[in-house]
Parts: sequence; C-alpha cells; structure tokens
Amino acid sequence: MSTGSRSVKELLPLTPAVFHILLALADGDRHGYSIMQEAEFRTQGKIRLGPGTLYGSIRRMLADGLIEETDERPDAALDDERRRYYHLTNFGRRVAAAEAERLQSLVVEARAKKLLHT
Amino acid sequence: MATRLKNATFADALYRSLLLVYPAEFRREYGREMTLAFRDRYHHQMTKRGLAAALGFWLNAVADVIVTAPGEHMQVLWRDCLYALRIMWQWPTFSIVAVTALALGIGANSAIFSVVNATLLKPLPYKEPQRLIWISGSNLPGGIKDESASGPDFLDWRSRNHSLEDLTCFAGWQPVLTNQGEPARIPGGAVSAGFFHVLGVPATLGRTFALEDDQPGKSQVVVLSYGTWQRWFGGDRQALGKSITLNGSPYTIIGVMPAQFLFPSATPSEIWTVYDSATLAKRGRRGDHLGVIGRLKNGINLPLAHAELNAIAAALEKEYPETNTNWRINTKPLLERAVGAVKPAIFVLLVSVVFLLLIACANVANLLLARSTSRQKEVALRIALGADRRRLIRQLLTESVLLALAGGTLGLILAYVGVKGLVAICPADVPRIRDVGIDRTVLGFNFLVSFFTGIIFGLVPALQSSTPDISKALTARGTSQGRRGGRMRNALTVAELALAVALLIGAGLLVKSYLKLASVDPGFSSKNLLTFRLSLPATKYSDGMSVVTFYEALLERLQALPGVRAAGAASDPPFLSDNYWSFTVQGRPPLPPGTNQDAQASIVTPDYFRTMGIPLRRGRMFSNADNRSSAAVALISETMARRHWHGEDPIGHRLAFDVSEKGPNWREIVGIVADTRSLDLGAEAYAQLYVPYDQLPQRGMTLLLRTEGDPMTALPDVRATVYSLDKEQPLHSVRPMREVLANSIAQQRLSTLLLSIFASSALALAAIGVYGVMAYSVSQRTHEMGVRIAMGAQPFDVLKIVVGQGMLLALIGIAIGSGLGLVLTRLMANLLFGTEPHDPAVFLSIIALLSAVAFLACYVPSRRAMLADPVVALRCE
Repeated sequence: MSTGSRSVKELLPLTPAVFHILLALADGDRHGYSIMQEAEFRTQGKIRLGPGTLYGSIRRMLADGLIEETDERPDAALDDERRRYYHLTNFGRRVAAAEAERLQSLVVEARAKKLLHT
Repeated sequence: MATRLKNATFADALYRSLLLVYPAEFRREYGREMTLAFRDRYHHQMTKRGLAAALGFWLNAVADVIVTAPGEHMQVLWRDCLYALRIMWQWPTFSIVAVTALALGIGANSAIFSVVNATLLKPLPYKEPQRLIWISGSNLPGGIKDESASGPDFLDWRSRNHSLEDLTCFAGWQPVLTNQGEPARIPGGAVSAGFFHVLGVPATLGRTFALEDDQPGKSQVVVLSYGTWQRWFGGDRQALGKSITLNGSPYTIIGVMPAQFLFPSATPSEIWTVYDSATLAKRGRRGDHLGVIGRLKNGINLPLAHAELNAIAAALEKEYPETNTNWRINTKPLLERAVGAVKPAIFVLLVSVVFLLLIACANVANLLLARSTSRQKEVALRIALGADRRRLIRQLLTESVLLALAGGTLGLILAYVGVKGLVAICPADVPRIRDVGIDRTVLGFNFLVSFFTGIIFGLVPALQSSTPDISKALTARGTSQGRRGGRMRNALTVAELALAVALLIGAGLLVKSYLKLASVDPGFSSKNLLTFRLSLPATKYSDGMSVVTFYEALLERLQALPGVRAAGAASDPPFLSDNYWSFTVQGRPPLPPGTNQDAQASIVTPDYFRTMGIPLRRGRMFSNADNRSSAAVALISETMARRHWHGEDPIGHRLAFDVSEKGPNWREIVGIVADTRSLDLGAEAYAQLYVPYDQLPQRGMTLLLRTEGDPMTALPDVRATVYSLDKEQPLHSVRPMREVLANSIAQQRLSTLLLSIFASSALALAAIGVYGVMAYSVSQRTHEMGVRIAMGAQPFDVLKIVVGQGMLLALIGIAIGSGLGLVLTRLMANLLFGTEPHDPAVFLSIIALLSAVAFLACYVPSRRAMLADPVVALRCE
C-alpha cells in the first residue's frame, strides 16, 4: 500500500526529525511551533527542531503524503488562527509504525547481543 | 516590557533577513510560519533564561539555516533540471544543434587551455622553480642578442656573484655506448657538479653529482634517466656502481633520476656526466655552448641579480678586452626561457577559441530567442498562474546552463580526442608538450567555462522570455516575438559574423604566411636526400689521418651503392646544425675588440655541393687536390661576398679564422657558391664559409646521400657499408632531408592548421546563424509575403526584400569584423612571414568569402518566401 508512487518501505529509515514530527502528530493535529515543543518536551530537550529543519521536513512529508494541512481547529481556546495545522494521514501513521517496528527490532537485536540490560 | 518587545521585533527582522538564504518559493510557502515559530521560541527562551541565552539561541538559528537551506536549493534545482531535461527532450533538433555548437566552442577552449595549462601555467618540475633563472650573453653592438656562455665566463659569474645561491652549467653530450649490445649513440648532457642541486631534484636511486666529482682525474661517473635505467637494467637496483663504456672509456653509474625529471633542454636527454671546473676553465671565452641556470637567493629578485651579473660582465670586459668587450648578460625566468618562444602562437590560438565560443554563444542565444517565441504561451501561462519573474529566469537559466553542461561534456570528449591528436602531430621540440593532457585543472576549467557559457548565452533570451505580453500571448493564434526580439537576434547575428570575419582574417594571414614560408627555396634540393651522423671516438681515431682514411673509404663505398647518385659529408649542414666562426681578412686593419665578424662555417667533402645541389656562382669548387699538402683554400657564399667585400671580387683574397704560433692561418678564397638557408627557413641567409675536409678533418660528420628514389630504402645498405668499415660505429639522427625541412616549420604548420580548423568551425557556425535568422524571419513574414504577391509583387521583389534584409546585417557584421581584424591582427605580426598583418589580399578574400556565404544563407530561405502562396498566407488571417 502506498500514497502517490512511494511505498512504506521506500521511505524507511526515516530521519530523526521526520520521525519526531510523526510522533508529535500521532496525538492530534498541531501547528509547527507545537510540534517543536512536543519533540523537545518528549526528549527532555535533547531534540530541538529548528524552524528550517521543521519546515523543510514538513514540505517533504506533505509531498510524500505522510501529513496534510488541516482546516479543522482543535479546542477553540487553544486555537491560533494565524497558524497552519498539520494532520497525520493514515499512510503517515503506517510509516511511523513501520519505523517504530524497525527500531524495535534493532533494540531486540541489541538485547540479544547483550548491549542492553533488560 | 517595552524593551523586550523592541528586542523581539528586532529579532524578527533579523530572522526574516536570515530567511533570504532560502529559495524564494520556500520562503513564500513557509517564511511566515517559520518566523512565527521562531518568535514563539525566542519569546519562550528569553522569558525562561533571559538575555544570557541569546547568543546560543542565535547560533542555533544560524546553524539551522546553514544546514537546511542548501537542501532546499538543491530541491528546486533538481526540479528545474528535470523540467529542463523534459524541454530538451521535447525539442530534440534544437537541443542537438545547440549542444553541438557549444561542444565545438567549449571543446576547442578546453583543448587549447590544456596546452596553456601544461606549457605556461604549470610550474616547472623543480624545487621552488620561480627562483630559477636562465643566464646568457649578449653583444648588442655586434648584433648578438642571445649567446650561450663559455666555461671561463661561467666560472667567473659563479665565483663573483652574491645574489645567486648557486649557478650551474650544462651542454649537450652524445656519447657512443659500446658494451650494452649494439653500439648506440645516447642523447645526454654534460653538467657542472651542482646541476641537480641547483634544480633541487634529488636522485630516485643512488646519488647525483657531488663536489668531489668536480676533480680532474677522478674516475668518470654518470647519472641515468629513469627510462634508460629501465631499458638497460630492467629497473635493477644493482645497476648502481656498474661500469659502462662510453666513447671507449669506462664510466660508473652513480644514480638514477626520477621518471618525471625534465632536463632543461628541448632535445631528449637520457644520461648525464659531470664537467670538472679545471676543464671548464681551459675553454675559450668565446664560441662555447654552455647553458647556464642560476638559483636566486631568498629575497633577491631578478632585476637585482641582473644588475649584479652585468656589473661582473663589465669587470670581465676590463680584464679580458680581447674576448669580452661589449659582452653583457641576459637574465630571464627559466619558465620564460622554456616556453617564451611558443607564447605568441598559444596566445593567438587562445583568442581564436574564445572567439569561436562567443560565436557559438551568439548562435545558441539566437536559437533560444527564436524558440522563446514558440514558448511564449507556456511562459505566459506560468506567469498567469503566479510564477514570479525571478523564478522564471532561474528556470530558463537552468535550461541554458544544462544545455551548456551537455555541450561541455561532449566538448570534453572532443578536447580529449583533439589533445591526443595534437600531441601526436606536434613537433617534439615544442616545450613541455608531453605534459599536455586533460587533468583536473582542465576539467575544472571545462566545467567553469560550460557554466558561465550557459549563463552568457541564456541571460538575454531568459530576460526577454520572462516578460511576455500575457494577454497577447494567451490569445494570439500565431506567435511572434515583436520588434525587441528581432533587434536582439539581428544584433547577435551581426556580432557572430564580425567575430567570424576577424577569426577568418587571422587564419587567412597565417595560411598565407605558412604557404610563403613553405615555398622558400632553401638553396639546395631536399628531394631524395638521406642524412645521418657519425661521430668517430677519439680513443679509436686519434689522428687526422685515420679519420680522413675512414671517411674517404666510406664515401667511396657509399657512392658505389646501387641507387645512390651522389654522396658527400659536412660538419654542419643546413637545418641540422650551425657553427659560427669569427674571421679576419688579410690586408684589412684588425677589427676593434668586441666587434663581431663571423660566418656560418662547415667543413665539407668535395662532393658535398654536387650532392646537395648547391650551384657554383664564380671561381671553382673544391677538388680532391685540395688536401693537407696543397694550399689552404675556402669557398664563401654570395651573401658573405656581398656583406664583407662590398662589390669587390673576393676570389684570390685570403681570410683566416684560426691563429697558430706562426700567426693567422690564411686561406685563399677560390670560389663563390649559392646561399643556403641555415636553421630557419624564415631567416635571411647568413654569411657562409666552407673549408675542404682534407685540410681540417673532423671526427663528427653528417653524411648526405642523393638517392634515385625514397632515401630511406637505401638505409640497410648504408648501415651495412658503415659496419663493414667499423662495426662499432652507430648511425644516428638518420632522417630524409625533406623531413628535416618539414620539421623546421612544423610549429608554424601546426598553429596554421589549428587556427584554420577553428576559423572553419566559426564560418560554419556563422553561416548557420545567418541562415537560422533568415529562415525564421521568412517564416514570420509568410503572411506579409503572401499579401505582397497577392498585390502583384513579383517573386524577384520578394527575393530582393529578404536577401536585402539579410545582406544588410551581413555587411554590417563584415564591416565591424574587418575593423576588429585590423586591430587584432597587429598582435600577430611576429608570427607572420612575408605577410603584412593588414594584407589587403587576405582581407578582401575573407570579405568576399563571408559575403558569398551570407548571400547563400539568405538566398535559400528567400526561395521559400518567393514561393509563398497568397491564398495560404491570407487564410491564416
């Protein structure tokens, strides 16, 4: 299954930035700065997406069909009309899952080689 | 609070200016969002950490832009390239014509640049080569501009100067090798002990000469070239310390030079021995043949060294007035000495390929302009859909740069093939020619030239195409480009014609000059004349008698060979070597010191003149009776008679060129022979002096054989005859005289050939250019022509209109080109022989040729206009 001409497999492995954006959007639609905050918060400040990195990735992800712009606004109190919101597509969700599985199998491998403590 | 707000606004503005690094498209799409995200984060950080965090924050922001902007540009470039490729594919004929024209232009530039790179730009392969200088003598009152140094002068320059680190000398040395298979003459050099040290090139194996080698009576040593070491010893390191027999004496091999070592002389050199200072000191101060190279001390420049050496020359003049009066010193960078002679020719070729490329650019720009008419709708549509002008120009320039890069790639292949061919046909004495090839520098040059060529020819069409009249373009049925495009195309046509005319005039002058040079009568017949040299070793032929006996017997046997009409020998025959002797005439007052009165001298056998076909003008030739026991005699050339006897009859006069204990050795002039040219067909004949061989025997002689047919077929018999007399005598420099003469003008032939090729390409491109513009113009005016014919115009009237319009452009181009030719050909003056840079015949021929070609290029499309069917033309309305 693929969107456009690209399949899930073709897109793997994802860059860390793309994976973090997918993870951020997995909970719901967000605008750019919100994605940056979420990634930073989730990684305890280890990942800080700059605007260039974020919007460069967003442009590619839109082209690949991983995300889409949405007109729906979340809770009106939190809404900020000036901003564009992004939504994770089904295809994007599958790609994120496939990447997570790929990482998981790597973790399993690392455990088997006793690089990680259970 | 107010300050913080101010800060934030300033930070916003600063960040927005950072965003200018991104492609406009990306900025338009995401710039606002990025600024918002930036502002939020900035605000957050400032609130949380205060101004102290500002530096780190900004560093991160700048790094983010630097890391991500190139990727966005690449993305746009990639899309533009794909689009450009699609366009190229859609217009295959256009693409093929444009790429071919550009390949010609860029290929020619890359090929000639590879020559420039190897000869003029690459430093010589020595240590700090910019400090190496060439030192020679000059005697301007005596008319001598550049003369080799002598041993004693060299030693004085070396010991007295303070501006050079060291100074070394060298000369040709061609020993006969006898203990390595067949006897062979090895081209080599004799050098002073510091030679390799001055050049700064150590041996790759063993050592080079050291000061202790500079001792008389020391065992003789040699250093081998890498190639010789490989050939003789298969690269065996045990070769060091081995003894070889050269000229009948043992020499010990002490070292091998690296493979890339370049001996600083035009002729190949494979083995080197050392001069000891005592031997150098004993040589005469005049008439020696040493090349001298010096290494400037750190911080000393050439003018300083030049001044000091000339002060030494002035001191030597006082000390040795007999020999050193009026002698001064020339100095020049070693690189200049190595390649100075070919610089003008290379410069002319470089200018010509630049012209060729400009013509190709004008041609392709014209094609692009014509095509842009057909693309007006596409461009208008894109503008209507919101594409901005800069974006369109960038897209159109990407197309032209891509075309140029394709042309450049094809051009590189052409250059590679061309350079291979060039090196193969290039005369061996063109300096550093074996270094010419396509290397990284040439590749870089090719890329840069391709890139900028794409910008140059693409810019004007891109600027024009990006501003179409949208409503007209989208609604008009037909397409036309209007007056502005037409004017630009006309200007480009005029420009390419002008450049082609200038280039053709240059080529025409060189062709005329070359034909004149090639038809110069050398003063003898070169047809079916075989030449080779023998050098008898002093160890085996120690006295004059044995030498004479050998050559007499040899000539007798050679003359008896089937197919040999005549055989003679000379010490210094024309075009093979030259030797100058100073002389005095009996009964005239002695010449003041420093005055130069010399003649090219050759010691010849009686049959030499018959063999060469040099006619006697007055008096008598030499005969067998002119020998050691008879009166000393000489023959002189017509030029010598004219120059030194000024209308007086020289026959019966006596001259001397050497002095014995009894005084000058006078020789009676018994005849006057015709002049011959000596080393340069283009130079006037010099005064020439001949002495009979029996009266002054020489071990080294050049044998000349006039044969019935192809002289090389006689070679096996000739070699067998030489071996039948002495099986240890190798024949060397075996060549037919015709080849010797051809080689003497090979450089001129090559530059003429190259310039002719470039000029022919230019002519073809210019013809295509004119044809293209006229054909396009006719296609645009079909309707007008149809109306004219419908109104009663005759086909001839239509022809007049079209041809008239084209020829007007052509004539303007030709006029400008002729003017350009008048200015530029002045730079070629010293490349021309017997041809004025403003030669009217050449100018008129080129003007006529270009006019004819332009007429044809206009006539063919005008035929189509004449046949325009008024009904069809009007139906378009």
